[in-house]
Amino acid sequence: MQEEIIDFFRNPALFIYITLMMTVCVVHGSQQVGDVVETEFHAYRLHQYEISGNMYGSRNHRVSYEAVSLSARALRRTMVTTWREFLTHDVDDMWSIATGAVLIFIPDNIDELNDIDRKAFLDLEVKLLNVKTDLAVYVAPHNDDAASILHDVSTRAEKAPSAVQQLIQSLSGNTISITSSDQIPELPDSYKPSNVVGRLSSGDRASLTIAFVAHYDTSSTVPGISTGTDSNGSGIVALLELLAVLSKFYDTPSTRPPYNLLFIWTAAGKLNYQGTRHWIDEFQKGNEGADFLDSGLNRKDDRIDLAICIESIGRKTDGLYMHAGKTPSENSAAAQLFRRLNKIAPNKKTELVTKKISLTTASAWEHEKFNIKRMPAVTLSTLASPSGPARNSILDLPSTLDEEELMDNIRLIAESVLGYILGLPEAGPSSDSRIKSEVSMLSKDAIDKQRVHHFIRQFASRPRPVGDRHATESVVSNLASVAAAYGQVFKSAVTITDAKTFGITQNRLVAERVKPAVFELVIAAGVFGYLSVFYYVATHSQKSVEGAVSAIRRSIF
Amino acid sequence: MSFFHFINCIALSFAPYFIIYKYSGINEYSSIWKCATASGGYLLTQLIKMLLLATFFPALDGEGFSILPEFLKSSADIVDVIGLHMLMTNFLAGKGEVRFVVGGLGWGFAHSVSHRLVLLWVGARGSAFTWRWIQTSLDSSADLMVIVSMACLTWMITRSQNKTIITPVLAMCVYSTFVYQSIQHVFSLYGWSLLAFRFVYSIATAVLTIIVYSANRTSVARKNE
Repeated sequence: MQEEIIDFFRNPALFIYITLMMTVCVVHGSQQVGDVVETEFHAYRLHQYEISGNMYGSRNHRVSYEAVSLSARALRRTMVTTWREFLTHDVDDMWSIATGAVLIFIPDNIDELNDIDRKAFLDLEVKLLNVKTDLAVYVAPHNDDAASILHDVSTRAEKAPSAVQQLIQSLSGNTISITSSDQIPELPDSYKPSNVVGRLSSGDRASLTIAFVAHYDTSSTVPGISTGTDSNGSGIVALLELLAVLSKFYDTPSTRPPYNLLFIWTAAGKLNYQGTRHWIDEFQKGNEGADFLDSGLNRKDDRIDLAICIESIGRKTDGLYMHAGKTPSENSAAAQLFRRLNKIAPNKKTELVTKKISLTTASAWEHEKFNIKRMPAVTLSTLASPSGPARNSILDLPSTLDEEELMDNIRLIAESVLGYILGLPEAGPSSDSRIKSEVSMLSKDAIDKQRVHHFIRQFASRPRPVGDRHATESVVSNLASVAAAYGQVFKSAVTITDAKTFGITQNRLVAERVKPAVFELVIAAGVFGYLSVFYYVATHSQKSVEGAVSAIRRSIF
Repeated sequence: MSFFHFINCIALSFAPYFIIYKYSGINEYSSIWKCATASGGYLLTQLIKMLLLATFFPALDGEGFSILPEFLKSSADIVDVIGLHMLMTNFLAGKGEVRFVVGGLGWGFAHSVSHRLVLLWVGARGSAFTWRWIQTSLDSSADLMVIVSMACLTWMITRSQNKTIITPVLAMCVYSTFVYQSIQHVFSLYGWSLLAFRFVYSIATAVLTIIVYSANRTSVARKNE
């Protein structure tokens, strides 16, 4: 019996099986502590887009290069730098390098920069804005890993005092290799961001339409981190709140104003207002008899009385600007709206700014897309001019938004539009100047503070560049589901023409401390030496152990 | 380059076993098949040990380090001694000295393979450089000394009258993992300093084993006289 059991254990197949099993088990159970040689961090890529055949930004996204300092400009290297160093260096010739990468560490708390730093940061954005390069350019928030990477890179850049030290350093010195680890596919050609249209109908066939328009995407030099809270998060929020407030008037037929209202959240606004252009095209086609359900118009003879585009109305300023292509005529809807805006809030000054529309360059304001197609439109904004860093800055963060101001502006717009569509007297309830009374169509709490706050959190606090498919789609479906609570909602996919957007806005970079390839030969020599010693010991072991045993026996016992 | 590093580590881990087998004269007394048998014995013993650990210490696989539970867990290594004893008495033949060297060699090789091979395959091929894999590989030599000593002491403990002198040294071998862990934890030794400690500890164990062996031989010789 005992022999049989022992025979069973002598079976070689059993051993092989157990070997395999045990190797896996034991290794999974054993853990060792090591020092960190590999670190992984999120980096955000410089923008990349194409308008009218011109490519802007960084044309590459793959990184697998050794890190060097900014001054050591070389092919197939990652130039690692801080944003301050980047500002002081002249980097114009760097952009022409054919392959390589640039990694810029920016402060991790861009929300808390002081005024001088903010100005410097805006300079950085300007410096990056018009870059056209084949390098993969990434920006990453500064942290402890970044500090150690920068330290290693700068020590490597220093020349050793003597030739021998230099040789040793080149044999065994640490280098850092930076690799992009996410394999994100480029956006497919079939990718189309969507417009979201909310509609409140008057129910009367002959009524005119007023459209509120705001683009919902964000953009900046680094689209992956800019939340675009004011431009145009405030526009998204304003439209939603206007829809919520004005929808009450459309609840019952008796209170319904004789105007249709459209709320259009347009896609790809920062790419020359692609969504707006698409919607207008659809609208005009719809008027000619094609499928016009998608554009949110269910009647063939819908006519746009005025399109009110809203952008950046959440900043603390003493008034709004109404941007228009030309001074509106006395009786036009735009002129009436302008007068009402000034009348309703005497402490806020609304100024009219006219700017001639250029057909050849990209549109400066959203209303220009309507004007080109001969539709009346204006843009309301707190910004006096379309250029300037405010509209496309990374620093356009939730903290820059003034919620009270945003609510005041929404209220102002709502009151003026209500006055217009209900045909209330422009001058107020009485023309007698001695009668002073606060008259308002909306109750004091009509603009719901909590609701606005929630909308800001949901729609204006996260990056939503058109290139980020996931973010765009989630904004679209959230917008549609929120708007559906107040009115009819339509979505339509936007075809982007004469422009192109690129998908990769962020990536995971892995920084690894590596040794030069020659160093492996040095280690191999060390291993060989060790094994030689072992060989020497092994060949002499029997003799020496026996000698030791007899010596001990003689001397001690 | 990184595969080259892996090869370096493999050579550093496993070549010592081959060198010992080939050049210390063992191959004249025993076939390599006996070493393989010893490896099999190791794996079977580990299986039993794991079953015991899973039965009696199921909840202790948590984080952190505390002396008493770790000590109790290490006591399961006594199973190793029983396994070695069974192996040497039942599966290996020949002179006693040849038996324990062959048993220890096969045992140590299996130990080394199961602790290092997959770890090196996963870790050392990465492009990031760290000394950790070299240190892990060098540990293999230290383990070899401890395990051959353990085999020798196990063989002696059943065949000797003065067990009092053998038992403490055997305990040194059995609780070596526990000692390393405690030292690492208490003195926060890592990397090269831990490796140095392991070598010092292993060499001390080996020297003590030789002394104990000499004493044992002396008493056997006296008895024969």
